[in-house]
Amino acid sequence: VSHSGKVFAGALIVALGWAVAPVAEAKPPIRIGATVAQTGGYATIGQPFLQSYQLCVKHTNDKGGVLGRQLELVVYDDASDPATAVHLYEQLITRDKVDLVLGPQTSAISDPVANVTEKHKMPMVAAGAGTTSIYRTGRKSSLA
Amino acid sequence: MMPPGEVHLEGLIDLAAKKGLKTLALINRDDLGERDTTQGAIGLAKKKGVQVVSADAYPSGTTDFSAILTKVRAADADVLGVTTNVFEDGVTIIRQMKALNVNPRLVGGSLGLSLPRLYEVLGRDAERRQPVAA
Repeated sequence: VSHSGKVFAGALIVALGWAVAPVAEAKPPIRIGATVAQTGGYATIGQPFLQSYQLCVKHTNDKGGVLGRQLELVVYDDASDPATAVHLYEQLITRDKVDLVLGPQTSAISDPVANVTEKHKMPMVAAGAGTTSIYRTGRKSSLA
Repeated sequence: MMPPGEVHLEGLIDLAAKKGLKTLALINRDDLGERDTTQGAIGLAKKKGVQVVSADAYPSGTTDFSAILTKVRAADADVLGVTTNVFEDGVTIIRQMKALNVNPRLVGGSLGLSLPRLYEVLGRDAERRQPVAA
């Protein structure tokens, strides 16, 4: 497992500990929402993000999941558009009822999306945002 | 996970300094993450004794990079750092560098220039490009 994979898994466990305690006895899957740029300007970099998200979920599920629960990935195409991504993260949180979210690609999209996750106190593992200013605004729900 | 944007070009600058390369030109797409990477690179270059001879941002949607690349050629930079989250921009820039005979000794960049697909698209024209950030 690569260093980045371990960091990802660690961040995921921290986020999950926040999002899904206490664990339900029926143990339904933990739903993880994300948008990926599958069209538009970021589509080419979006593809490896999608594959990495799917790979992490598969590896985790193959090892029995997290806290005894399987992971389920809910992904939409944000078309590389910040406004579309904002709408979709609202949808993931309020309609799809995901337990946590993984971030979109690029800081330019992650920054407005972080306002949505902050509003809903929804933990976001911002895997595609490198700009440190995103984490210096007092937000508590965005995890680098 | 992604390293902080401000250090995305740190590997390129370290390599340049170790190779004794003295001058650096920077190009970035004018957006949040890319701007931060260029600003970080300017600071890192200063610490490593590499002189930044040009730093230019281009607006999203640009397809003609000739003005910026002509400036890079005139500056005779040893190293070029390109920061863009749009893969196709990186491909276009490298193709136009060849057309305009812009030949820094080392070229590196983040995301848009760091995918293995760059080699699939450009073939040998991708050589001398150094992917430096995830």
